[in-house]
Amino acid sequence: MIRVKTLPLAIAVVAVMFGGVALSKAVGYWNTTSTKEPAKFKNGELAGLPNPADIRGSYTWLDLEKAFGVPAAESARAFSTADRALDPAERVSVLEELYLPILPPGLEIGTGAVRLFVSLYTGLPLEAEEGSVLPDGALELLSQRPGMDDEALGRYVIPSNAPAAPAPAAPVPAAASPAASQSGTSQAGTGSGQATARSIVGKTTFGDLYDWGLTEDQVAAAIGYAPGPRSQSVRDSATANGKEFSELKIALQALVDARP
Amino acid sequence: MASGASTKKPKKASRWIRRAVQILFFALVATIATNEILSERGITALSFVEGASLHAICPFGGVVSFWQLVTAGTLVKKVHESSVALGVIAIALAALFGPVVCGWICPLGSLQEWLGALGRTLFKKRYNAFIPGRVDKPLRYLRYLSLAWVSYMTIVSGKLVFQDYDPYFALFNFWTGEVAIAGLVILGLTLVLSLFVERPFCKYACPFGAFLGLFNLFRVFSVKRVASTCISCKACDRACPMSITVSTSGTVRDHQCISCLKCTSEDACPVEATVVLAAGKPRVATTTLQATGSEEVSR
Repeated sequence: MIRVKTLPLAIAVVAVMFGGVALSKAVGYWNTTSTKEPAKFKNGELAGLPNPADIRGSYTWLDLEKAFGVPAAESARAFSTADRALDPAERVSVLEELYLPILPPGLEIGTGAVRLFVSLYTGLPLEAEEGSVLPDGALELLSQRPGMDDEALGRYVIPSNAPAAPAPAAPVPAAASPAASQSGTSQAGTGSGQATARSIVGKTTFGDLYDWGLTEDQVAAAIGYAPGPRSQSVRDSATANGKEFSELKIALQALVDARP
Repeated sequence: MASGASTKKPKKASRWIRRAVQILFFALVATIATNEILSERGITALSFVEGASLHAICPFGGVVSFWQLVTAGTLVKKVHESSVALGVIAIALAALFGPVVCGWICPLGSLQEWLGALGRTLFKKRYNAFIPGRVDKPLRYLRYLSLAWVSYMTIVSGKLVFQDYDPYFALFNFWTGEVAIAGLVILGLTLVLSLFVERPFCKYACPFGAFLGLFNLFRVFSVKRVASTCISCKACDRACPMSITVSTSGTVRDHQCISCLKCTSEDACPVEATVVLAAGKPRVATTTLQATGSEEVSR
């Protein structure tokens, strides 16, 4: 019988813990922050370009400039409030708290708004969150971009008399984005930009798809893997399986639209 | 099982050794997490340590990311490679010594234990005995439901769903405004219940503890009781914070053991080398009557 007493165990616990950390540092695996390099589109004309959907709250405006070419100082200024001037080195996660007391109930400006802003600025496609709004400064900056559609931007204006329930989600329309219109790239499920009763949006679940008449086999064939449970959203499933939601959405929307 | 007088062990400082390790890791985690939050706000008061988010230094984040890492090659949002490394380290330690991460390292476990000392002072023998055994035993399996739910939801959503309910996250972030109400409530309940029950969150709800507890079934070094020298005083049972009956076990395989060694001959057990952390089969002890008439254990 090999016995281990308290002191040797304490030494072993501390040594294995710190030794393991040191080893993972030595082999270059120890990383406590995200790389601030967003995931890239994998397929199509946009393959290799950074995906705004992967912007995290830990990104600073400087990170965004580096990754997407959106000027940090101007962006930080565009999202600043009357009471608080944002520093380009600040994380975008501060926005949610900053705008919470300013916005009407049901509206939010946070990391999702930054993703939308970057998408509109660069023309890279994004499925906007439901009820997305942008601060006036950001809309003004975007409206100065060549080829920007002011009317399309109008849907992101903070309503002066906001309803309790925000407007339904609207995909970023290609027409609103100068880069997209210039490059001719198409947006996922743009159409009129209005969500219909059978439009696939971020919160659409597999259960919704089945309710709209699709079979599990059809869904599996469209997305390339076995779909999750009914309650799982397609977006979450895409994330968990390393897929682009926008790509799955196109395939699934085509199936839904083909149904009578 | 032998009875009668046996070799009495000298007093040891084993519990202080473990307490020192617990304090070390509590202080380390608190400093690292606080430094990260302060540095986000431009304050460099704790810059003598490397800052990291609590998610980055939580091994459970690494464990629940394994599935996504294997199937998609990506990590769950907010989880970093450091969490995976810590998850692997925790598993290696558990395979060797059982859930020592729970008993020696986890700051939330330590805090519950420290509050428990207060509860023990307040309630004396009633402490840790408020819940009847017939209710307590099935409740112990609740943490496997917790583990199943957290694992499933993390796999299907690709997000750290447990963050909103995690008292460990709430403990070090309660002052930041980033903690969900549910997390704060669960933290508050955990701390209050710790005054009545030893390590309530560990026993009934912790998904990571449930995961590590599985290693008790096949760990290399286990808590073993040498029946031939045991005097059946049940001091080991009374000392166990997880209410495991050590006094009738040969090798403790209970899924709730946290390898705290409180039951062993270095702490509660009054007989030398009778309850030990060891690998392999215990050697059979023989007893020899000495000329003085005393009984001595020879090994």
